[in-house]
Amino acid sequence: MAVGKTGRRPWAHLAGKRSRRDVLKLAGALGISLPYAAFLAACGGTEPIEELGQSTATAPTATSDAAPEPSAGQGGTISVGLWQEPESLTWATGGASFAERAVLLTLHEPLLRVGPNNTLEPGLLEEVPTVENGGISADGTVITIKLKPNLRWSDGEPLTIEDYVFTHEKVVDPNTAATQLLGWDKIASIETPDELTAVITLAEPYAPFVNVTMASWFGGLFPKHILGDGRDIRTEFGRAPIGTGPFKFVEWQAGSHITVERNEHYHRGPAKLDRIVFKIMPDRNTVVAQVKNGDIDLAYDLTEAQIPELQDIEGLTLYTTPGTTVERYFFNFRNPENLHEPHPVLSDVRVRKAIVMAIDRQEIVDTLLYGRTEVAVNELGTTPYFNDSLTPLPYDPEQAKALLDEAGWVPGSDGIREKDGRRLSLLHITTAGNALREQMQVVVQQYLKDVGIEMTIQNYRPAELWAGCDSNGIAAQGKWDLAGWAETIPGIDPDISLFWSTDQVVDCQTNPSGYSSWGYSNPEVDRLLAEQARTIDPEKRAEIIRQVQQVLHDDVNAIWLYYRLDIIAASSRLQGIQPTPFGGSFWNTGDWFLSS
Amino acid sequence: MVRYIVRRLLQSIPLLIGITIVAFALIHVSGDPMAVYNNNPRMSPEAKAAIAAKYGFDKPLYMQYFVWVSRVIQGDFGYSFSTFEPVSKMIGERLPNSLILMGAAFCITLLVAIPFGIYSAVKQYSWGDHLITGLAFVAFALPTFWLGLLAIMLFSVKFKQWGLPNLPAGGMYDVSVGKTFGQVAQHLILPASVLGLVSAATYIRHLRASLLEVISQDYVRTARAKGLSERKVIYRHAIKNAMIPVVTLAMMDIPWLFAGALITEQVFAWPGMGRLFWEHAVKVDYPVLMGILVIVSSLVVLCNLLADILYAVLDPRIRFA
Repeated sequence: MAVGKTGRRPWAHLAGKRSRRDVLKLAGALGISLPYAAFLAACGGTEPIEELGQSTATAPTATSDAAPEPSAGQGGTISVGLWQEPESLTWATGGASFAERAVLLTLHEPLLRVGPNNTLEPGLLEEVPTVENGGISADGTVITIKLKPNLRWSDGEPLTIEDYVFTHEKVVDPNTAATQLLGWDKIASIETPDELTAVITLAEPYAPFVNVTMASWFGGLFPKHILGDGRDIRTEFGRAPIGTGPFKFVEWQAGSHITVERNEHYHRGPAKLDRIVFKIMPDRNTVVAQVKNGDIDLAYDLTEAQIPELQDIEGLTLYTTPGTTVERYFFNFRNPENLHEPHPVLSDVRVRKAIVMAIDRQEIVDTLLYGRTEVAVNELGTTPYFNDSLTPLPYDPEQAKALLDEAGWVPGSDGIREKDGRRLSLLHITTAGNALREQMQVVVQQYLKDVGIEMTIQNYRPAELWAGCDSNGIAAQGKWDLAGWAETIPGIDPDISLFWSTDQVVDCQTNPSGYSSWGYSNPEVDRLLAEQARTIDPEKRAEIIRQVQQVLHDDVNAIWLYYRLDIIAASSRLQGIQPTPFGGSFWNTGDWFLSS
Repeated sequence: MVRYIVRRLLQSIPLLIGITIVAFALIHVSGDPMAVYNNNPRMSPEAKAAIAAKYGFDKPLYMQYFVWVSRVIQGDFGYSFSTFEPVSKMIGERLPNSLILMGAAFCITLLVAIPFGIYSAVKQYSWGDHLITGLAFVAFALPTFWLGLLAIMLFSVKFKQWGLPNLPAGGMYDVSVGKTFGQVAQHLILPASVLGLVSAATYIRHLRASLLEVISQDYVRTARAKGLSERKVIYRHAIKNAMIPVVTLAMMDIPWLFAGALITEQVFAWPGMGRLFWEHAVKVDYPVLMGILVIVSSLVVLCNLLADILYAVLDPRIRFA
């Protein structure tokens, strides 16, 4: 019974489930039909996602009607709805939520920022360090950076290279208990020949260094003149920071709002808007109601399920950008009963391939995600490092069955396949309470049943799922067969060692802090990943990254579902927003303006 | 009486200690505060170890409990693991907001419940009684988040589209105007009404049942027999006794004035205690959770005692030994 062919949707029964969105719809239905007099064709973000695989420029063209610089576009206050409250307004000590990154980018100009085409451009630095311009030594161990002259902190104090040296000291200081150390711990020494230049020596060649320590929302500096007195970076500075961004901090009322206003010392010239008020509204539905109502000008970090109710609203522009967060199901490569052995079912690549081919991922994207994104190939699919010769495995239940037959799994009396007395039954875990994930789980369960695979379901709250080894973390202990959640590459660098190299495999006895609870291990992949980290030449490194992707793809390393969307709904009066997969949506808030 | 109160207060100490032990254990069963870092690809193992050491997660659980208790006895609720602020400061910021919301809701509850409850009992089985009890059942059965979203949809979104005067959808005040009395009052209307009306349903049912029981008693019949007007019978004689269960209910609701309303605060973006609890429960941030639990459970114990004392005031038949 081929589900896709008969057109019967295996999740038809889910229609009976009432989500909050349905409640809102119902509430809407109680009113008189909306005055959809003219829905704006300009409702933005309807970018051609088909191009995603080929093109690196995935910025929506919504506001690209040659947005003229209006003289009337100066000034004004906008309010932004956030459904999460930031934890601390410094990149080094915060929780790295989407909400936090948004506020951080208005307050802290990074050393380098990610421009509209996913390319690095100078931020506080004079230029992007490369081998050609001498910023990176040929062996990759010495990086020279030079600050722009006459930079100032938002309180008017001059910014010098001493602040960079100080930032390094603070980040690696155990007392700071930094949440973001990546790359900073590779620094062996820093010399400062003059007050704008730093010569950074690394302990070993580390190709991702510039990407992971200088760019995007984690590339800001700490002011030595403020923090030099030893005040606590999280609680004191993190609640009232001084930065270098287009806006400066005004106030943070816990649970209510964070206000920032134009920083007159911003080195690109003052921002066009006067101030931005980030309103904290813990319920995404409330955020949506307020942006529809015009009570707030921008709603950030929305879900795919909210697209339909937002896309046809007059005066509202919807931006949907596939980001670097990719929803996937991991295969457990180790035996849940004994993690030192390979998985009795899933270590066979034919079974993994059959599972992927049994799932109509396009159908899932088209229905559950309203066709707004596309089926993922791997975690680099939206980045310039993507190996674009790769395509998702097709949906082909017949071939899936053939592969399972070939692997020795034959249907038993109840239709579920068996081999050597073992039923082909797999346990799937995901985060409890995420409606979309839970719906998708049921859909996949049905697809797998159609090819003779039984899938059982057990979900856990994030605090249980990702708990450490000491707290009996579900993922870390590996007592599962398939696990679904999203991962994001760390920053804007294509180094995927964290996910796929053997030394990251979690072992509660020997390597409790490893990252890969799925236990993937492949000597060829290890070799290539080690090599790319040492390869300084960007072209050669990109080539190795493409090779790794090929090897992992052939090995069917995961069930890649889709590229998660970065969704913004903004008042159409608010212009200048240019979301990019790498740089996010808030990288250029200084250029945002209100049209009249 | 004084002996009774002292005895009850002393009894409550082991009770509170028991509550904290159970709560502490339950919070730890619910997850790992480090989980948020374990899923962060930019966290190195050294960074995780530094955080665990700084906040004492590397110590055994009973040690973590003793450290927490010895601090609380000295009046220090510790620091949040996620915002790193003092818990007392965080609670101090949220508590007044919850008191405003819950206090307003409580007033609405009483203002609605007392007249309607009395009417419902006095005119039992009348058309009005059926309407009131029917509506009370509906309100009782409705989930508050649903009612809240419905209210937002109607009174702020639709009313605005229809060009009618409308209410703000969430928050405590308009940041551009500031935290003025008028602003807070305006933002208070929807959440306080939703909360107040839902809990009025419970009060109406209790008051109606209790008043009906009292009305059928001998002393009320006596009052009627001696020729008092129905008005005097109800308001002077029946009401006082009928209020006893309602007073219990109200006393038991007082701790919730401090605890806030989890769901309603969430839906209406009201920065109160309920939201504080929920946001930090997700992160297994136990200093914050325990701080709130200690305050609320102490209030529950205290209000139980107050309710018992009030019984004696309202009902002279009750004596404490």
